[in-house]
Amino acid sequence: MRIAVVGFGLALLVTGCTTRSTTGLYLYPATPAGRELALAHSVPTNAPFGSIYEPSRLETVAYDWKANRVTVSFYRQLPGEPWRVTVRDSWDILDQSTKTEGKLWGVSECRCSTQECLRIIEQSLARFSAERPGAKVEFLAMEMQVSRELWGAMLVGLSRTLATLQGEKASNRIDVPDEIDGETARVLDSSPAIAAIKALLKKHGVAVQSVGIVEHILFRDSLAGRRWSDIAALPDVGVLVPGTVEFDAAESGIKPAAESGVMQPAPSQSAQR
Amino acid sequence: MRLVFATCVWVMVGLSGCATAERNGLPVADGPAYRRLETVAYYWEGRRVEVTFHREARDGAWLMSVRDSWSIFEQSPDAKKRVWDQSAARVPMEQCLQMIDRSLLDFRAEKSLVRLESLDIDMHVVQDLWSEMLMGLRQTLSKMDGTLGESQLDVPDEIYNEIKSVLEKSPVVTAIKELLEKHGLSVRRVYISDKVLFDYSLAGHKWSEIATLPAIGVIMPGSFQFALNKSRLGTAQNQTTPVVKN
Repeated sequence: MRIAVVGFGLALLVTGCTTRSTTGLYLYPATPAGRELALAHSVPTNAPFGSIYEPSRLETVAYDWKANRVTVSFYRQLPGEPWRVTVRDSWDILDQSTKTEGKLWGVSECRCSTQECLRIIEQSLARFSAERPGAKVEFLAMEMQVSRELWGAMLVGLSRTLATLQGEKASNRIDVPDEIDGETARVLDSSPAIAAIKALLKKHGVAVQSVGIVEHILFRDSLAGRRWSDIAALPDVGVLVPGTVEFDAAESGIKPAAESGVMQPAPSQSAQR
Repeated sequence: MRLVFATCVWVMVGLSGCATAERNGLPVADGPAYRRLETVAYYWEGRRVEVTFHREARDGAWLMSVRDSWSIFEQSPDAKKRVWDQSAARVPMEQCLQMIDRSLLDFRAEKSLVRLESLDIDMHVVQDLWSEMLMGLRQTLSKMDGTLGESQLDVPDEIYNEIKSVLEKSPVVTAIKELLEKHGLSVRRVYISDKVLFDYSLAGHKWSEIATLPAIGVIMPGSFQFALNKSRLGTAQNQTTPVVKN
């Protein structure tokens, strides 16, 4: 359930940077089969306009940190609901993987150091709480490759695990051995970056109940049939899409910036541009 | 050719997409460290139409848009197969009006003192308008001398003038203006915000030949905008209430 929710969330903000963009709520299906399926569910254009066609709603406040190319988005479907937060590469990672020839998810693709990540998250929380006092957060989900230290540790851990794995990569993208999930969880448990983000969230009144993977690391389809031990030797261990880690906050209220020791952002800062 | 420069700028912005940063590292000192974007979107899934309100500054006016929920940019790589003919249009005029009406009502109910700056609509979203546009352009192209140039942006003035003329005469545009007025919004002017672009693979073809193609070689249907006077979204009078059926 949560995977679906976060998947939905991470599809956000193809909102991109221009007024041209759609919300990204329902993206253009990438395959002809996907498009056919979507069209099959379309309402005929001459059908009556009625209650079953009530619109769905999505509200988003996004901060695009330009220098690091990281976007922090707060979103929810209904007014009054707690907010969900995503920290992600400003350029959709699936888009990067599918549209960039020979894309490798090495450490060089990471967007920020732990300190930079912490500052970005903290400043985003401060700005958001200034404009939405009393806002509650349900969870914060972060793409793992955003943090250099976390992704570096993940690549080392995965390489070590894959090197010892028997067998070959299956053709099914989601058919990933349990050992990989186990290693991912182990890296998260021991990561100083994860511990620092938890501490930061706590400082802002967001009490983290649990940390876990909500979107698993996927490996490139082209590696199907290759031995895992061979894949371990690749520079980015054959990653197609880095996964996402979630900090479950159980609807915690964000403290005002002044209470958490962060300088109160000027309300009109963005308006000055 | 008046829009060539503006379209160039727009295309460059579009291409740059989200990758606004030049490098990793600390925020640059001489500019804002972040860009804020606030969005409220209402999505009619079955119709594949999305009405969005967005703004950058917290105290800024809102921009409203009515779009095909499948981004036309995403659809454009399939342009060779994608034919922007009448079947590409999303909804009849009445439904489009109902969507705009409903979105304005819902948005006003959740946001107080809303100031709207503009309403931008994908040209092909409304069946009636897109049909008028294709018909008008087909007639114009059939009378034009010369060929489609190498540059997609290099569109003759005759085409621009025809689009303007269709918009000026369109009952769809009139109906939307009236609807906006019912919501307390007065329209300052209506203009083309994104120009219709033609398939570059047709470069060198005579315009009169292009006029005979099913969707007259359109690769991007473009959009038009209602620029609004500085007014708040007010109490709607004689609002059209969405019909509840099914």
